[in-house]
Amino acid sequence: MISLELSERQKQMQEMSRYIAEYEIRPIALEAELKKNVPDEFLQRMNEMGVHLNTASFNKTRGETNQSKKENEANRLGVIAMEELAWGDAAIALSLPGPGLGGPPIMTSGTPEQQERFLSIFTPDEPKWGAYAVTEPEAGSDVSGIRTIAKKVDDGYVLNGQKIFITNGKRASWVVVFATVDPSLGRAGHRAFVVEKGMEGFTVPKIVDKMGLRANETAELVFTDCFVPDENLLGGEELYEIRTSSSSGFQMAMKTFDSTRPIVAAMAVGIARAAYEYTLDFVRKEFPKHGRTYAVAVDLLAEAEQDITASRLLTWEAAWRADLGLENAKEAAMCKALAGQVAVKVCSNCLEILGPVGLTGNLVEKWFRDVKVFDIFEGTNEIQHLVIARRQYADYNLKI
Amino acid sequence: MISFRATDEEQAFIDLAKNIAVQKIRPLIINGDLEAVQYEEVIQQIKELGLFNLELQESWHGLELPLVTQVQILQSLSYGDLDFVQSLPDAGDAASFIRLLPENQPLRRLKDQFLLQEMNAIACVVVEQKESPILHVEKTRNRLLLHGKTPPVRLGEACNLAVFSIKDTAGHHLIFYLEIPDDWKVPVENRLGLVNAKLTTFNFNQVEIPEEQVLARGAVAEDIDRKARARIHILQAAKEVGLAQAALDYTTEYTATRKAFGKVIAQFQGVSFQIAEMAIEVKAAEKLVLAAAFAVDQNEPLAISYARRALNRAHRALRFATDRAVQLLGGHGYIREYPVEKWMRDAQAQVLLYGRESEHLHEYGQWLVTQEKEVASR
Repeated sequence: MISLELSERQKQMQEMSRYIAEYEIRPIALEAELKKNVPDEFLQRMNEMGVHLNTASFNKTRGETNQSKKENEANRLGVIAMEELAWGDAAIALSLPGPGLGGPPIMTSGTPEQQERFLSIFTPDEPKWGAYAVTEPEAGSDVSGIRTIAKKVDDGYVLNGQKIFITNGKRASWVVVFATVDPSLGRAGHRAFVVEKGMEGFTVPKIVDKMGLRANETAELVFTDCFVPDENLLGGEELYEIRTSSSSGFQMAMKTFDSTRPIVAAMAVGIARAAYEYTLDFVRKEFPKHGRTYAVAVDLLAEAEQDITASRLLTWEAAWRADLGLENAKEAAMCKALAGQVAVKVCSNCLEILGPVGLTGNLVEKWFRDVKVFDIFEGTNEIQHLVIARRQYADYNLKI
Repeated sequence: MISFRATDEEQAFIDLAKNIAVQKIRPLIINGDLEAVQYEEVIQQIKELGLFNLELQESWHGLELPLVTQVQILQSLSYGDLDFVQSLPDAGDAASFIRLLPENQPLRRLKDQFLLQEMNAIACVVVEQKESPILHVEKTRNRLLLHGKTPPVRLGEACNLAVFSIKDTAGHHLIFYLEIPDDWKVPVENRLGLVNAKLTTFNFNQVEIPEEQVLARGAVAEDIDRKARARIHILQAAKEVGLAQAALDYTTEYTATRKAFGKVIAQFQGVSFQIAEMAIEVKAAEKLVLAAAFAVDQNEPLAISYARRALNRAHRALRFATDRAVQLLGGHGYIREYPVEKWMRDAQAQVLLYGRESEHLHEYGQWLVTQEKEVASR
């Protein structure tokens, strides 16, 4: 039955996340931005409270939910929480402890032993992070073009290569790294490894400066003859042997996006909502209620609210499908494309309404800088269009 | 719990409506017109299948469905052709008023007259206070007199009854019905679109509104007017999404088969990305319509504004999708052998009939800004 009513659990998640966003995150957002760092004490406290950057994974039991079991709602809970936390501050939300974007591939493709080993480290005792590394200097949108090499040796693999734009890459206890055993094999050569902090040959030489999200760490990773044992090959050799005709490593990377794109979309919605609410309040209090400027503001705010709501609903649908194990690549791309684009437009239009006030170091100008990357990472807007178009033409057997 | 799954019953309705849309309605479009020979036959079939009067109460021989169910069915039906759906001789937009009106003697009279004939359309005239000073209701010596001309009214040509929602010159809201003889009807010279929707204006010259035909008045009428208009906005928006989806799918198929420069044009990103953009727009509108319908069904206080938002977005999606359809079909899109030029015209006519896109947006914005506290948007 179609319903847009939040379940009790979803309401609790929304309320708790909103409280943390409003009273814990927002008050430190500007200072964290200036210092380009999220305070350790804050991260420690969030970790103790169990507030994590914990992206849900795709439900492996496709189709109908088992009536005897509780319906899986992890993806819906994830997008509800992330909208609120990003409303507080996206840079801080992305810095929260937890497996982050590295969680879904471990959940969907890791062996039970790997899941236990890598996911059990996230306890209230000490904040820890996971990370996810696909992008390379010469392979961004084109994931199939990665050049980090994994050479098979006795008992493991030796990795050589470089990864860039890796969220929480320096502080992470482990990173899911995509590499190729042979570039000439294309996608079929892809493998995913869990590289642990401190492994010999794994270094983090650089944290990059960015337009926005400055409080969040974006790292460059380098692998120089980095030995990774067989037990850290995600899913084990069997995973790749079973599907040698296909490209399981590549598909694992793609499948990860089906869970993470709705999360990113939800964060974009949260930022857009923050800018919209700030500006709406400004117009209510400061604007004379007549004249051309007021009329323009009214129209821009109406469009913003509508766009935000549409983006949220598309995000919820993509997450709902993931929870039920239904194919959601198209919906995930749609929500990401719309939310990314909308959030940039909303923040820009909010600055347009604010006028010179927007130059005075307020939060809206920060959100404007923060939000642009949400139209880029986890697949650019153009890549989302490509994914949508491919699904749209799926019945015609066309290579788009 | 957030869910986007239709119930089994809804799915059965949706499948039936989609099947009729594709198998029965779509083939009626020949050279930009609905084929008159089979038109009545298809209408009869739809009536027999029970897809008439989804909004009306069961006592009116309607299905009295929740809005969430109705929007899914209407979206599927309009996938065949919006013009056709707008021409169905049923209670039309008046159904939403009828559904909300208190049971009283005047309403029973209207029902008796409506049920008298097998195929009977009711027109609906909703006059917003700020516009159309060309239509007045004046109270003179305990008589209510209607004077002036209506804007084009859907089903006006086919109806013999019309429901009116209007404020009199003293500012009191009235909902009443009239029997409409043919000599009050002035055909509209409409070449733009929805040419089968029987658009007609009515001319009134000091017509007395019989007291026994006043269905509601004052605060009650005003409340019903607001709620009925919200329902109409949502139902119309759903139909618009159906046509926008049709334009998207038709264009997808065309671009997947049409070749240029040695390959199918879908393989040019200049084409396929526009298809993706259309798909996003249609989906966004569909979700806002569903959200508004759900809010009305749940009696949420903000539902009326969500309805306006949904119609604004549906207008936008429909105009965009039909325009892109004509564009992507190129020269073929412009000629009447293909349905898309008709759909683009129908889209524009529909938007003019149900309120300008810019107007709905501005009204919604005014509402947002004047709320005392934050609206928890959904």
